[in-house]
Amino acid sequence: MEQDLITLGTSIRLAGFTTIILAIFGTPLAWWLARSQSPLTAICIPLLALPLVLPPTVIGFYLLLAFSPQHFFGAAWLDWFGSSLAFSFEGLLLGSLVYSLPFYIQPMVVAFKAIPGTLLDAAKTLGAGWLDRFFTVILPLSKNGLLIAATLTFTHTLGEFGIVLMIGGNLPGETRVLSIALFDYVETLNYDKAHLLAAGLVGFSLLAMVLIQWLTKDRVARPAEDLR
Amino acid sequence: MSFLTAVLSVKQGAKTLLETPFELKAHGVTALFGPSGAGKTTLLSALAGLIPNQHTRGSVIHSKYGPWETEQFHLAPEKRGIGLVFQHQQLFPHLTVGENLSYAQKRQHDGPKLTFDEIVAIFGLGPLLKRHPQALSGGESQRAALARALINAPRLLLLDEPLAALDWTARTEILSALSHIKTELQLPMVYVSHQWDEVIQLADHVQMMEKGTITRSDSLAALTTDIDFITQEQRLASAILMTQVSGHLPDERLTELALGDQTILVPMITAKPGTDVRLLIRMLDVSLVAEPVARSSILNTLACRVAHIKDHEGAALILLACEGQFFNARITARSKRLLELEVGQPIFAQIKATALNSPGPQDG
Repeated sequence: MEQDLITLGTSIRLAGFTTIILAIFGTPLAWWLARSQSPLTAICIPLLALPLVLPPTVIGFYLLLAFSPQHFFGAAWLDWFGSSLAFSFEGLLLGSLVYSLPFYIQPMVVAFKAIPGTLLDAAKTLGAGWLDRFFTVILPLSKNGLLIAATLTFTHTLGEFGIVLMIGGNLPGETRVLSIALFDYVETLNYDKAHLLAAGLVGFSLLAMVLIQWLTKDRVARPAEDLR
Repeated sequence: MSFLTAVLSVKQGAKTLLETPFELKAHGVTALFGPSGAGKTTLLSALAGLIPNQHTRGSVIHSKYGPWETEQFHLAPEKRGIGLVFQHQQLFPHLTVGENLSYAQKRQHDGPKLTFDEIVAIFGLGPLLKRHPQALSGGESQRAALARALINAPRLLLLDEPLAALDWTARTEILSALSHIKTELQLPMVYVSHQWDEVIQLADHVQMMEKGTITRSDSLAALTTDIDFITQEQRLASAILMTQVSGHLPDERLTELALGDQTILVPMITAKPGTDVRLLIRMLDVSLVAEPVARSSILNTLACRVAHIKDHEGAALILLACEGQFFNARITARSKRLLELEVGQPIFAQIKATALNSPGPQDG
C-alpha cells in the first residue's frame, strides 16, 4: 500500500509539473499558432500534432537516444546537471512535455481563434497594453479552453505508458508511475491491487470530466432570467 | 486649424485599399461619407493604429501630441488616446455593461470627459448596468459601446457606422444622444456613414470618399447650399435648415426658431435664445400651397422660391430655396400642374419640423 502511495505521488508530480510547464510555455505558443499570419505556422501546426498520431514507443525510442550521453543533448545535460536524463524523473518529465504538448496546444488554439478580433481592437483603443489585454480579455474569454487543455494534459500524462516504459523504466519513487504499476500487478496476477489502481484511475478521470462539464457550463444570465 | 494631418497608403498584397492625404479639424464632427468599399473603415483603422506596419505607408501627425505614425515609427493603438466605436461585437461578453464601462474608466486617456453618472444618464444605461452584453438589443449594445468609448476620455472619437445595423427608433435615440455629447464636450469626432440623413444631422465638416481617396472636403453649410451636390439622388430625402432660437412660448410648450426673417415653431426645447439649432426637414413632410392658409393644423408656413424641378417616377421633386438654404418637396405630377410650378416662382411650403441637437422637449 505504501508503495502504491509513493507511485501515486510520482504520477501526480509528473502530471502536475507537465501541466504547469505547458501552461506557461504552451499558452504563448498556442497564441502565436492561432493568430500569426507567418507562413511558419503551416509547418509548426502539423509538427506539433505529430505526437497525437505517432506510436508512443517511437517517441520513446528517439527520446531515449537523445538522452543517451553518447548523443549531443544527453551529453550536454550530463555536463550541466551532473546526472543522466535516461531513467530519471527529469527525463520522464521532458518526455511527458513532448508527448502531452498537442493535448494542451490544440484546445488552446481553438479557444484563441474563437476570440473576435473586434474585442481585441476595442481593448487596444481603450488603452489596454499587451499584458493587460492578455489577463483582462484573452484569458477570461478562453477560460473554458484553458480548463479543458489543463485537464486533458493532466489526465493524459497520468495514463501514459509506452513512453514511460521506454525512457523511465520502473524505479520506485523516481520513475515508477501508476500505469506501470498496474501493468506489473497484472503481470504478477495480483488482481486485487490491479483492481484498486484501475478503478481509482477510472474514478478520477470521471470526476475530472464531470468537473470540466460543470465549470465550462455557460452561466451568463439570459434575458429571461433577468426578468425573474 | 487642423489638428491631425495624415498621408496614408494601405495595401493588401497588390491591392490598394487606401491612398490619400487626410486632415482633421480640431473642432466638431467630421463626416466621412461615401459608398461601401470606399476605404472609410480602412482610414479609421489606420488612424487608430490597428493596421499592422507591413501594410501601411505614410504618416499621421497630431499637432499637439506629435507623430503617431511615420515611416520609421508606429505608436501602439493603446497609446494614441483614440476612442473607436463600430457596428457590432465590441462589448466584452465576460463583463456586465457596468463592468465594461468601469474597464474604460480605469484606463482613461487625457481627452475631455464627463462623469460616469452623466454618461450613464445621457445614454439611458441605468437599468442595463447589471446585464451582460448577450442580453442586450442592438440599440442597447450600441448605446453601451458609445458610453464606454466616452467614459474612456479619448482625445478623438472615431465612429464607424455605429448605427448601420439599427432600426429607425434606436438610430434616432442615439443620434440625439450624440448631438447632446457634441454640445457638452469639445471632443473632435469622425463619423463614418453612407447615410446622408445621418451626416446632415451630426456633421460640421464633410469629407467625401471614393475608391480609397478623399475626393472633396467642405463644411456642411457649403455642401447643403451646393445645388449640384444636393440634387443627387441619395441626398434628396431629407435636408437640414440651420436656425437660431429666438424665444420660447412656455404656455404653448413651443420654441420659436429664426430662419432669416422668418419664424418656425417647434415643440419646446431647452436651448437658450441665440443657440444654433438644426432642423431636419424630410421631403415627405413638406406640402406646397400657392397662398398661406390662414387656419391649418400645420404650424409652419415658409415663403420660398422654386429653385429646381426634377421629374421623378411619376412625381416631381421640387427643390425649394428659403433664406439662402434648401430643402425638397415631393409632390404628384398633378399637383405640379395645378400649382403651375416653374423655376424662380415664389411658393409657400407647409412643413413639419423636428429640432435636432437638443436634449428634446422639456417637461414641467
